[in-house]
Amino acid sequence: MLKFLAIFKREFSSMFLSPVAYVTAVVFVAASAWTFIQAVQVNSGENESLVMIMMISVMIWVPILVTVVCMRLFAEEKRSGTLETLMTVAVSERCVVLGKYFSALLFVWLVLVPAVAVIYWLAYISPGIESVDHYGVAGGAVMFALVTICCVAIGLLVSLLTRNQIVAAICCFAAICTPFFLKSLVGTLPVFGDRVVEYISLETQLLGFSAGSLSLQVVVLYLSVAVLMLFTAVRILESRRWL
Amino acid sequence: MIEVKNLTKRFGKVTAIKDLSFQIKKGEIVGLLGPNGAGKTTTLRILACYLAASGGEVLVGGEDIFRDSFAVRQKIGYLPENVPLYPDMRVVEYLRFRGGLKGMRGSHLRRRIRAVLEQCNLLEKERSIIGHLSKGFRQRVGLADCLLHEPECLILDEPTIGLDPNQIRHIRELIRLLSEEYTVLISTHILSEVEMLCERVLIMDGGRIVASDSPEALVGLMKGNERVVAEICGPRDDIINAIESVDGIESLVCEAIGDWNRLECQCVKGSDARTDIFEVVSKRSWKLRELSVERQNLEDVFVEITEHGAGRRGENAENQKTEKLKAESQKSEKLKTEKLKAEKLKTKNAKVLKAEGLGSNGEGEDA
Repeated sequence: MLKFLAIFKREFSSMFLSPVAYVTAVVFVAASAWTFIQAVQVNSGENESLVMIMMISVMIWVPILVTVVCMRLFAEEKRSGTLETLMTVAVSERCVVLGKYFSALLFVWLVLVPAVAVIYWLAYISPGIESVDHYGVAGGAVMFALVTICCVAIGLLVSLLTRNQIVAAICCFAAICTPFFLKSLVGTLPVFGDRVVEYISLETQLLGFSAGSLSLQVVVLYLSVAVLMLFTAVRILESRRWL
Repeated sequence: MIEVKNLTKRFGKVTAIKDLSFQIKKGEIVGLLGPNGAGKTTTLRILACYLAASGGEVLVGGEDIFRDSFAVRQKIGYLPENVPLYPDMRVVEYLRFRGGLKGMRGSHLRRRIRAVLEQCNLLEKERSIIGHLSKGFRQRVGLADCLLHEPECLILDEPTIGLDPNQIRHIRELIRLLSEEYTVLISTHILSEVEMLCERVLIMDGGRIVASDSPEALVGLMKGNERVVAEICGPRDDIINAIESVDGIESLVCEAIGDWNRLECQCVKGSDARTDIFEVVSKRSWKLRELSVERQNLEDVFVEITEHGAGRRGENAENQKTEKLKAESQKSEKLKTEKLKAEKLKTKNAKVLKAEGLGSNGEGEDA
């Protein structure tokens, strides 16, 4: 636990030691708030759920946020050689992977909080909005939590596969975007069954969560993907001792 | 402390290390030498549990690195080549982080941090950002990290690479001090460093150990052909004949430089022919402007062993050493026997001459 905490603290603090964290946070919150306000203006007078607009406005920026946070997790350590010093002390691969994973996840959540809270700020300054659907917002928060749990795990795994941060960023972005556009991409092809694509696609689940419904199947899906990614990452990190 | 038996490492079809075997005793300071691509870094990475071996056995402090790498990693302090550090951290923060990774905390960690900062002369830099430090200080931070958990053995991969002469001297001094407390395995390209620091040298080439001994013994092994150079002014043929008759000179090459003759004399191992040459020259009133001995150093040994591909011939280090020693002892035995024979012959001749002399005297008397 002590070793996990050491890695977690080092990773989390390192994000704030460079301007990347501040720039990422500010740009993400500003971009999602601007998208939200634009979407509200476009949909004014129509019967659209404010929570749904907010979720979509934030969600479209999530792949970029996760990519920027995750691309350096292992790629940077590999490039600078610090992975060698890290793995030659008595610390397990699982500890290293989990320490890095939870620090990245916590940072992503910290950035997401003000982006989601924009809806309350809008309700406060707009007399036309009488109340905010708290269940919808809670559902959205759970959705964001699950999506980021899964996406950060994917990003961490991709970062482990290369020492080049640009390659890591491109692959990470592509891997994270896949579930977002899966329905549009392969839904028309006869390769997969419609139900499988619909089950995996983020687009479908987004609608369900914004309506305040929490499906256990979806929770299990995201958590199991995250666990699978982390397990693979641990195995890949261990593999240098097998080969 | 470190026991390596038949260690082999393959990267695909390339064999980086082949049947490597050596031992390092507790408290020893051993230098690992070899040209680029000899397999030094791979060996050190395996010893530090960063890479897996394809075959063989490695024990560090009695623990097998494959079966119990955790225990081994606690016993070693490993400093990789180029000292990778986090440039955004302060020195003390970095050491605190590394201490946490090594399972240290509280007052023990604080005490150890202070101790290693003092040991590595880093107290004045403890609040400095690592990225702002000079390479020499970064090297010290890496060493401080190695010492933090009080390991039994230090594995240092080219600790002085890229440093200026002053920084090299400081780091070398630091390693010398550390060698009093720890078992040290140090890989380096700087041969003078090995001669100064190490009690024993392992020379690697082509993934094998091609020589293993103390620097002095290695130089001694190669000594057989010690050369004396003399520049003498006088009649060329007389000089050659006179110098060739000096004891301990096996052969000589004479080169004319104007009126002067430059003689390069190959000497028998352990002999110093300079005094005899001087006597010969002074007796004949020739002029002498140079009389020196060309001693071989570790660099010559290194070049001789690695360039002529002793390793590539597939001989193992111990065999080579034994063979060389055998050859040398045979050579000295031969020389002794020849000397004895010559002495016997001399005595016999003297007796014969004496007898002849006595005979002739008798004859004279008779006549």
